[in-house]
Amino acid sequence: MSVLLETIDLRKNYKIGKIEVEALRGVNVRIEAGELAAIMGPSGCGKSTLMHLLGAMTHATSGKIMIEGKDTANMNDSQRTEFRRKRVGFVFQKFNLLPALTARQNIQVAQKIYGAPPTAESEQHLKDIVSLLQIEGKLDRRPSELSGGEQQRVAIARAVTNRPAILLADEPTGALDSKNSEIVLHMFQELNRRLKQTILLVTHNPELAAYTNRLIEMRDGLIVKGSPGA
Amino acid sequence: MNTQIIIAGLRARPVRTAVGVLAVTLEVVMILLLVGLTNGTIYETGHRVAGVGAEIVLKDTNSSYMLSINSAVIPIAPLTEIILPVEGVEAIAPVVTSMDTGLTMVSGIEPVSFDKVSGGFEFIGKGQMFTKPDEALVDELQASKKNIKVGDTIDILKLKFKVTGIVKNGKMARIFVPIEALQKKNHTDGLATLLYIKLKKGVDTAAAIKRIEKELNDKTFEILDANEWVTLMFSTNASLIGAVFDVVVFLGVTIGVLVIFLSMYTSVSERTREIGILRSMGASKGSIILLVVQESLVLCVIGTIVGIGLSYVLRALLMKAMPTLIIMISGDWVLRAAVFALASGVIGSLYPSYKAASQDPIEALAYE
Repeated sequence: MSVLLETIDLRKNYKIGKIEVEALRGVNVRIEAGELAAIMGPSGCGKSTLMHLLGAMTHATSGKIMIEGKDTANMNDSQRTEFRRKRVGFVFQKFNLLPALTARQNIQVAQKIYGAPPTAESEQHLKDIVSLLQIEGKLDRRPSELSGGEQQRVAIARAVTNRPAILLADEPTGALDSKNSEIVLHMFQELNRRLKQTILLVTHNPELAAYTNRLIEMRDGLIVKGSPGA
Repeated sequence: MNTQIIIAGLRARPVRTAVGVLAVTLEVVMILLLVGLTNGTIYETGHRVAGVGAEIVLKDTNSSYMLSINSAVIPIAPLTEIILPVEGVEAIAPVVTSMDTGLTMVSGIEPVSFDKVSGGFEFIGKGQMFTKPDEALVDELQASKKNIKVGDTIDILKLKFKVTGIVKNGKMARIFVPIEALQKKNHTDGLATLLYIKLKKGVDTAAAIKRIEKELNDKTFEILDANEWVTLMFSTNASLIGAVFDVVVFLGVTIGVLVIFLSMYTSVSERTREIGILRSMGASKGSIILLVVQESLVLCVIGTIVGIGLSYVLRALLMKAMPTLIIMISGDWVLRAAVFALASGVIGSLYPSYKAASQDPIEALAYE
């Protein structure tokens, strides 16, 4: 497998009032294409910050984030926006579906933001995803008419419809009961296995590790296990 | 993307949508009705003056063009003696004009000379020209407005008059009384505010004016082509009317901008998380700005259409309830009102759209 993503001495500092907080203190991590990996650690260890940086939601204080050969760490806002649009899919703990739109429209919004006209292949890809996630009969419902598990599956469909290079999921089962958590995690596995989708889960739940190929542990802004040189 | 989100957003917040539409509707109605009322009043006044039938008007140089309402200063008999023999002049009608309460125009006329110039009144139903100093004629719109009938006694300029006839609209004033009645009230016996001069058929008006000026040889009086006088009424009041229009438009647009601003600002604040979601999916700042401005424009388009329709409905209702009220809604003002309403939408949504686009996606997603 080839390297899809690599961070090199990645640092991120925040200012809270006059106090500077070191959220990431030199993170080195490598993700291979087609991997299903999990970043785990206690609250406040910097895993969400790392996910935001990997997803080009913010810029780094220093270091590099090489994704498909491009350093996204120091891109400007419009470059990061385009990178997110073309190469990143997000799944959030709170699903983050647009409440006024149906499930189908939520997926279509992602396609329209992506900007490519629909093709027979993209239509088939969407059908495959919808089938895999078992939401065929739910597409005309609004989020408020769906269970938490169904909402999260729609959010996953939205995130992968444009074939992102990497799918980043931040506590994807955090708002689900154990049964729905299991279903969603199983679907991540299926996406990874059938579509070769690279997936990086961020969680503080050790049970998730059982569903992934690799576990990366973080503590105090550093990778402590599961990373090259950790 | 935008159409689905905009429609869904507008439907999801019906009260906010209704308030936004209502504000734009109000803006359009305000502009169209107030401008229409001003234009209608001016047009109708000019039309009534032109309806007198005189080709030439003689007025005091110092009186205003707008109906020349001031104290009567034109000596009737001496001027008639000079002007009537001038080649081409057929008749002269002296008139004293005055304004009653409610801006109702009252004309003091001599029945015989006024009939010669104007061709006479067209009576509606039973009625006849007044013959006594305390009698009056009322035009159909004023009669309808005040529910006046032949035989009624009405108060005009704090005097009592018996109505002897209801006449068709379009002969300058709403109410006609004997000229002596107004002269007596104003202590201006033998004086008029205006002289209407009718020419014989085929006589060139400009040449006739030159001949009258030559005979009269008095710069105290201004002799005008009646058509030119009507034009001057509009043009000399153009700056005042323009200022009124500017104020109306300014108020209308200000209301529109403020309500749209508040509506979109609230909408953007409520939808912080949604905007964060769109940004996380790669929606550019420009597309977020466009989304907010487009939503505002949808409100404005709906408000404009409703506003134009409502203006016509209100015009019909107002003109039915108040027959003397003339409201002219012209095509160019409909277009202007639409442009002003859409401009309100764009201006009012600029800052909210900028605020939405400037939100940090991480903070926006964390917004509860």
